[in-house]
Amino acid sequence: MKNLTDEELMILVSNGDLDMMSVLFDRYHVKIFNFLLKMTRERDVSQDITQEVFYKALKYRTSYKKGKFSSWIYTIARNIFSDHYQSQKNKEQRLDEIGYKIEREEIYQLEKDEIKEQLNKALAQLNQSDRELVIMNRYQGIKYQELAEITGSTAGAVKTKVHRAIHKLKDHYQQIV
Amino acid sequence: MSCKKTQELIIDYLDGNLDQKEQQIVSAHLTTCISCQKSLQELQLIFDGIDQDPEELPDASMKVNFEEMLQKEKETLSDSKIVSLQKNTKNSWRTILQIAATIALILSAYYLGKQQNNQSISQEIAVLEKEKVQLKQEVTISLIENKSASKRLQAVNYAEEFEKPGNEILKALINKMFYDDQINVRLAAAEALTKFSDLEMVRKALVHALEIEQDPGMQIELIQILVSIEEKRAVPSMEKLLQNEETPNYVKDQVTIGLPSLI
Amino acid sequence: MKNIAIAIVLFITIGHVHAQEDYSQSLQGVDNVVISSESGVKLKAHDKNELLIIGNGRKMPEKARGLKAVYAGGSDNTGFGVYAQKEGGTLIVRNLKSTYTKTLEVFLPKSINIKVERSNLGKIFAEGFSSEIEATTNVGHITLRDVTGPIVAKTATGEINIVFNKVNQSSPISLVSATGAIDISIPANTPANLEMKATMGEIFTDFDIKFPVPESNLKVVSGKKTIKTELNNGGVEINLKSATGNIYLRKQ
Repeated sequence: MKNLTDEELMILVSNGDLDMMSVLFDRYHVKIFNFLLKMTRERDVSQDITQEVFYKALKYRTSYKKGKFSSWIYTIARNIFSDHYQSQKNKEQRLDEIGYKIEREEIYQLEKDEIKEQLNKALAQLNQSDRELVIMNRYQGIKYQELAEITGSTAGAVKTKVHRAIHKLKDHYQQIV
Repeated sequence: MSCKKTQELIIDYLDGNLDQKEQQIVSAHLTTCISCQKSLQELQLIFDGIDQDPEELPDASMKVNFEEMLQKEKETLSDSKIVSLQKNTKNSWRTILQIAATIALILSAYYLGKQQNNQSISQEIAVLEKEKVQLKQEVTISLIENKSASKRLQAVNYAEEFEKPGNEILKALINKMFYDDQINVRLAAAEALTKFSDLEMVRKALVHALEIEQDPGMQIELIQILVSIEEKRAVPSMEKLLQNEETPNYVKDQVTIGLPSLI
Repeated sequence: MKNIAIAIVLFITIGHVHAQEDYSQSLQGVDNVVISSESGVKLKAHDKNELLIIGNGRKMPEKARGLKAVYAGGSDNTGFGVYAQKEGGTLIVRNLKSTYTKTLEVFLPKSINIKVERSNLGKIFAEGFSSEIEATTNVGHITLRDVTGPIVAKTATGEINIVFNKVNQSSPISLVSATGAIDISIPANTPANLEMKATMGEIFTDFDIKFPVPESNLKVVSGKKTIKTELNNGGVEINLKSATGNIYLRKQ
């Protein structure tokens, strides 16, 4: 069971062997959670959405169509996040303010943490699509080809977008430092 | 090299994605350009920062909640009755269940969205697609007789990509499977034909090909294909290969492996 | 002083004789060469746009002075046991000597497309070409070094050894061996769509290959072991196929 690929497991799930979803949950929930955490900067919200992702994956298992499982699960995560984001735009702004406060208080922290926090801040200044590309590509190590599958684009176009987003991130970061 | 071009390549440079020549050109520019050096250092700092950002772990309760949800879903499945979603609202999944309908909407929106991207300009694309298919067909046919074996292979790859190839394409593929100077092209053509093995014309050609094939490599490929498409008409020629003293042993092995699943 | 003069004269004479021992022909307007040879063939790239056949060991024996060599395969129009003729943009080179003679050593321009055929027992060796190479042997090994492809090579029982210094992305690479091993090295950053099949043999690589995803369900097709994967986000098709030999794919 542990030797099966994600895709093999998901095929089993879609054929009614629901227990296999447990293995997929173990393999992916931390990744999805961290993706959402970077996107929302909110631990509770990220946990809730992660739960939703796997609920939805299970509920709509028969809609899985043999593609790469990781692309599929990320697609689901992105969609739930988008929906969440639409209804929470105002809240998001408040989160930014909280971010500032935390930043001030932690000013004496180690340099490493500082860079990390500054990066988080710079990240927050990117628009949603740039942000998710940077997170998925650089933080989560998802390759251009798979990003293309997730976002419904081509590897070449995604690469260009990611590179542009990284340069933007760099500019924001420089302004913060 | 210009600074602009360097900026375009600098991320690939850091990631080690450039070929040797590009790598050298960028290096050369960096030694002379202070502003690009600075940019490189900044990016390196950011990438290091990202790499050192540890993954956070979610609460352990997530796994518990998941297992609970899984259990419920399994009960739903074994009941084979439609259980009202509102019944199961005891735990933290409550909110989730409440928005189940929303989820369904999102899901359909996702698939719709994907289609809509195409549909909004669907008419133009339909025309374009048609032209593209025609063009591709022409390119394929013209390439398939190219002097270069590599180009002929490319044509075979193109042919394989057609969802419903026209007769002309199929005939060209079958022709390539039987006659090409280069075995590599014949093998590729045979493999490509496997994709269209629901067509009787293709199946017949594959069966016939094994009857007359002399090259051991082709024989192996054909045996594997015919076994995978469960073509019983291949049995006589496979048996003949077994009986023939000149058949190499490794070809006979393939027959021995494949034959049982046909009879 | 006298000795030096003799030495100089000697050098000039030797140089002259040596020049006569090679055969060269301009390749103006030629973009591909088709070579057929029963004996082994060694091809090297040079910067001149000409065909150069190394004469060493190919000249007529002393006893044959005043006679003409007669070969079953055609007329010797070079005096080196080789028939060489331009036909449009193609240069035909036919080695008229038998399987058991010395390897035919030829220099060609770096960018000319090469096809070597009907090499039965002989080995094929080529080095330094940035062009398309096609090579077919029955028993002989195919060894290519410092090449870029596209390469289409097939051998029945020989081995295929190729070191790419770069992989040309224009059209597919296909290497087929019935019983011999296939051993290739490509740069680690090569983008490619890789398909490897060792029916009875094994596949070894230091590339990070993803485990193949089954096509539809979990049914295993008997005897078929194909690994399809993308290297560096995908690129040109590289197809390696061996019936009983092993496949070695190395990072260069």
